[in-house]
Amino acid sequence: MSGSYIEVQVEQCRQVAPAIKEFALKALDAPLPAFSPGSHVVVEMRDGQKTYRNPYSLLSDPRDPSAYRIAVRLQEQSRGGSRFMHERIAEGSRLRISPPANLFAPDWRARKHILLAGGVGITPFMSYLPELQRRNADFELHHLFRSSRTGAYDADLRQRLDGRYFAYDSARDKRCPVAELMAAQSPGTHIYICGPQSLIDAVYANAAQIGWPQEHIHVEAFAAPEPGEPFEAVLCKSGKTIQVGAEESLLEALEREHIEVPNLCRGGVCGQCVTGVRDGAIEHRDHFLSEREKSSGQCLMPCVSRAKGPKLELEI
Amino acid sequence: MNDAVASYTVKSRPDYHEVAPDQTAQCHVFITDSAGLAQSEALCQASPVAKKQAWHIGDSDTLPAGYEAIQSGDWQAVLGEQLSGFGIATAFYVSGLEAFLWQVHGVLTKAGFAPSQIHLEPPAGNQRDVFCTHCYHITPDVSTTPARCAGCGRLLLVRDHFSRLHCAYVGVQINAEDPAEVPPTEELS
Ligand code: FES
Repeated sequence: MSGSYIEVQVEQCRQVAPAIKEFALKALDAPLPAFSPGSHVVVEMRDGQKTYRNPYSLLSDPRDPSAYRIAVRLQEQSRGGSRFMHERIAEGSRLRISPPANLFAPDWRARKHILLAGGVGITPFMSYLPELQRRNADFELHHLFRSSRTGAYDADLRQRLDGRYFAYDSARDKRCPVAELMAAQSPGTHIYICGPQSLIDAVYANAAQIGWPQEHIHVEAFAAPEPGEPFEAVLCKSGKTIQVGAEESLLEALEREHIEVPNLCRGGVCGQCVTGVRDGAIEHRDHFLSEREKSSGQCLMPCVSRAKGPKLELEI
Repeated sequence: MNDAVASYTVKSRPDYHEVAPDQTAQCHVFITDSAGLAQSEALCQASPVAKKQAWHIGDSDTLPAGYEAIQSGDWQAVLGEQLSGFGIATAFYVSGLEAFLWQVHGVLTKAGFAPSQIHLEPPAGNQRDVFCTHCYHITPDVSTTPARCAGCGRLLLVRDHFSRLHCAYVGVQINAEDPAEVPPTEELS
């Protein structure tokens, strides 16, 4: 994470779905900065020699800076971060977080907002809701979950949003009719998706099929970096060579060696971490670089992308 | 300082490309002025036979089959009202003079349609509307530079700077030092 950190303490922690825990974070010294709907923070977790840094959306009302709330889904394939939060963090624990950043703000020009949440993807929308309601905006929240694992805030949302809330519990075989939902909208509607890639793909495929405007689709795409083959990174400027493990991202390996690379989303969407490559085949996994930039082989996004072979030479 | 110089010399003229019908759209809407009518008709015939609507804006008594007329008077408001009947997955094709293209673009985006749904054909003529930076008057159908502002009478150099807000090119007085000096007139491209 770039810039200054904020020291926080966990004030409250509660289970909000079978696999999701919510944490309320209070600042230790200075007041917490204000934020805008859709913002996230990067939470730094120190586990002995290891440091995890994961981005989490802020759930609280953006106008209430007294505490930040985040929700963490325990990932079965956890590289450690979510498991650490679930098992080792409790009331009173201390953490460091980045100041809020926003890569998923509502487009206020929209005439209507359709929020499409899959599982723990409900989180960024929790900070949208108070603002949408204050502005008297037209919106609908469609929440897709499996009640045996996710479905956080379902009862609460049902009550708060009344007719604007639609729940689809796949454990009860309720599916969201994405195609019909999209086709029924009138001009000026924007759709926001936070959820699994399959949901994002379904929306885009449907848009392409019926001529739904792509610029009205907004995606919170950051996903935790996927593991891969270990490789060696040679840093041409400093002459250092570092080993990148199978379970860590190149960015994490660089940070472990105290090499600072600017970053914001840690999920291949914001473009902050772009790093020059001198030599070596790249496995691009980001959503930021254009196809042309990717095939040039001259840069990569170290937060998610890796070497395709045993070695990468970087321009740092 | 550098920025100011750069933005002064930058040429901002929208780029236009030949338009092909969008095969995915659920509905196709053609909007043209008199100058763009032939272009519009050709495109309309080439587009898939999904739901179609075609409007000619202006005063004309002979229209090709399938075109409905909207009188030029208050056409932007009339068009705006008509649009409420169209779904989000509609493609628009606009033909005509450049200022008209962008005026329609403005009506469509105001109605909530996205730029990617709005296809502007290459302008059907070299006439420009010119926005006078001195009196803010817009002089229509200018095809030479310099040109006389219909508002204040100044002789304006027509720059290649297109303002999407005004749907017009920017004009600045060419002979501010000596109004008696009249530079040669050139045809605009
Ligand atoms: S940190 Fe955002 S793309 Fe890498």
